[in-house]
Amino acid sequence: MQVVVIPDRRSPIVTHMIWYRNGSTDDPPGKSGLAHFLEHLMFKGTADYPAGRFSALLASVGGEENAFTGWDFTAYHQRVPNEYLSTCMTYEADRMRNLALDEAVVATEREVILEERSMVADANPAGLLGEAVAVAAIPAHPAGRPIIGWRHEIEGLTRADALAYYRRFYTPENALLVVAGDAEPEAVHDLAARIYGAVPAAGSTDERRHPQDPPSRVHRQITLTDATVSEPQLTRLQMVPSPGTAVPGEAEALELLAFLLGGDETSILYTRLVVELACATRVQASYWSAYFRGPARFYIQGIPAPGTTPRDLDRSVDAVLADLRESGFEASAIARAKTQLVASALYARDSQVSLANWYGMALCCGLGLDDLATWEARIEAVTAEALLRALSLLARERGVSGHLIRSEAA
Amino acid sequence: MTIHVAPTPTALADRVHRLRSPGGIEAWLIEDHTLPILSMQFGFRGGPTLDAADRAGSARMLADLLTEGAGPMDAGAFRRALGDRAIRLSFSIWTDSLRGELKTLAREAAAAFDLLGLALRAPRLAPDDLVRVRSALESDARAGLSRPDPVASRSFAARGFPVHPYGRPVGGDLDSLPRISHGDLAALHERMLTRANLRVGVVGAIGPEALGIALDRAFAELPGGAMAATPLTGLQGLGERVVTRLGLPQSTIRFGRPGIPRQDPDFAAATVVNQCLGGDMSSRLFREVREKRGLCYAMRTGLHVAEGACTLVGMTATRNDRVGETLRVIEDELLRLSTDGLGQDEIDRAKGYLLGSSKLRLDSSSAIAALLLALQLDGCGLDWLDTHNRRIAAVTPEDGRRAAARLLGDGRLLIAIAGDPVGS
Repeated sequence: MQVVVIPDRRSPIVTHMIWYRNGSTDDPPGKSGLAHFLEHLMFKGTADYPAGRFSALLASVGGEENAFTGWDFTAYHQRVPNEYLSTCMTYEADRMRNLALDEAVVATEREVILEERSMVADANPAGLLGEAVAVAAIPAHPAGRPIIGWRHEIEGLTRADALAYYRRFYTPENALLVVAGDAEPEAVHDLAARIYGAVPAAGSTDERRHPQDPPSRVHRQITLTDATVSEPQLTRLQMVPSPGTAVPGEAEALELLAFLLGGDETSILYTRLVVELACATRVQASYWSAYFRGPARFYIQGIPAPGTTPRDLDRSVDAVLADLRESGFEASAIARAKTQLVASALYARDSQVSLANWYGMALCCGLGLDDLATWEARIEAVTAEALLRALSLLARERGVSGHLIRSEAA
Repeated sequence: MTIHVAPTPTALADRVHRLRSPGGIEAWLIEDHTLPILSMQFGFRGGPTLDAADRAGSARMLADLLTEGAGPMDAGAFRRALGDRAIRLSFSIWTDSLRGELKTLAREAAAAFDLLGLALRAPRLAPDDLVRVRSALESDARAGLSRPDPVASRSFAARGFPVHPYGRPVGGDLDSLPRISHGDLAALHERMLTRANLRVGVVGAIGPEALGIALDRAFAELPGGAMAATPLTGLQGLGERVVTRLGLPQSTIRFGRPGIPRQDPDFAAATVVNQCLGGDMSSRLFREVREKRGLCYAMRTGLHVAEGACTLVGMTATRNDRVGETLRVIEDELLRLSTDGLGQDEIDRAKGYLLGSSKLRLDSSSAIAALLLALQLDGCGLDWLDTHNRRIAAVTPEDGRRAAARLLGDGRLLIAIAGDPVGS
């Protein structure tokens, strides 16, 4: 088991995180939502820690705990006074292999998750559109499916499904420990060796090979028209390499490109579409660099101004990108974007939780500690030419456009 | 098992330097050179409570305009000046205040405080920027018309506080936003952004003397002004259900009762009662509604302390055909707690959580600066946290029973539902 310690001595607080290098991408075909379902079930107890016992212990000292599921990782974390670090380790080591699941508890939790799905998707047209756009972008690769799973597949998930998935992935070999805060690296290492070292080895997790989509040459447009939409929206998605699969310099250029295009109110899309043309009220661009081992996502999203349709705004975005391919980027804007991105890494060091997340996600997505250490230098090294190459990845025929539209009352 | 935790002092009072700049600006500072950055949180009392009755959203609009250009710089030039130095400046709207956060590398502090001073003293409020900011807020308001959370919150507030600023949407609505004029914003700016309304908390790599000089660059030239005060009120509409129909498969429910104010002798006990009722994942409502019955994903309650009113507010969301059952379980639990009070174990666990978490939350400069600001805006002294923690530690089952009976009374709630509930 890999162990990462990020010391921060300012307060006697420690953040303990166990990351498993699997997520919804590893849900078996027909069983989407299984990784997330198991994440919920991991709170249902073991023989040594019946449901609620650890939570009550943690609560009694003011600790916080939670968990989250991504496409390529699942993480469990606690924030506690530093003297409770070994308590957290003992608990996580126990539930790594000894989860006890009762049929009735599984059935109730499935209901909870269906309500969660309603909140994020079924009662939320923008959420439903987002799901449809992602699956259209990579129909074959399982990272196109929503993390929470499709409703009809969640309804069919069983205790046996959860346990099979659990035994396959919840092993010391597949886990990563990140401890941030007031802790000595050597002491953490010794504790981890004693506590996690006692969990029997399970052998390395089998190699995962996911179906790949062909390079896209066909633009796809998805439209969701619904009476409950009160504000239309445009969501454009392009699949681009993740930092773990990109050629050198490519991911850094995409990071800078997202900032230059739609990172703030000085960005190119904001200036052109919101300030000058007034055809949008909001616009942003984002490169989801931290979430995927395989193909990653690059989003451009906007709210059209009254009188403008999502389709109009979609075309305007293309026009801005076309102009940019001709004109290139201003040197002063590139320098400013670099200054801000590099500073954001320093600002992130103010929060042990942000840092622990940054390390955990990167290591689960196939990067190494060296990659994190040299990130700032690599951002500084991005050239104007590299930005233009990154821009070419946003060609219209490679992407999906999602239009959220209000249907008029009958 | 129960672990008894004695309330150890937060040591906040020992670490905080209370300073007064040469120009007379007061601030609370924690000097910390671990990282070469500094984080300042500042606030102006009043916030959206100063909006004219038919112009809700004015303070929010002013907050958004404060980074849209100042003095000789238009919006683009001002933001580029911030960006060139990686200075982060943002403003937000709270119940009783307008707050700002300034984050800067220590070496850029002088420029950061100069730019902030310009933004506060001489925001441009230019016609183009007004149009743009207004249309963004109108867009949010339109989007909020069909989202269950904002719909339930708005109808809860409108019924609960019919003739008080708390009843109006802080971001404004499609009626109020078009009415807000340049004159309204200029008047609000002059009335709210004053030294009398200002409170400041700073954490980071700067000493008191240097900070004093920096504070003067940002704030000393603001007008003195008079301090804003929010009129007192209380939550109304108990026993009523307000349903807003949305064609969605799930109903979002907001429910509440009047709370107990901070200066009340039962405030600490009420905090413990809320913690046991719906404060966390071991609480009664979480257990009964989510864990046992699978009725919801989200379930929480909170004691909201504002200057004009305190409320106990809860939120959950459930399938339309289970709204009736969910509300029955909630109301039964409230009545049970009001009648029977809390057990010793439950009280001890809640006390342990409240005492421990008050320190665990302070894990970043921003979080600590935000606390320093909140204490000042709420009129609390530096020792308030320690005093409050001692009171929490002293809560007995008898205190809990009394506070539960006062807080939950006959169990009647104001309930706002957004969705398509069956049988409501």
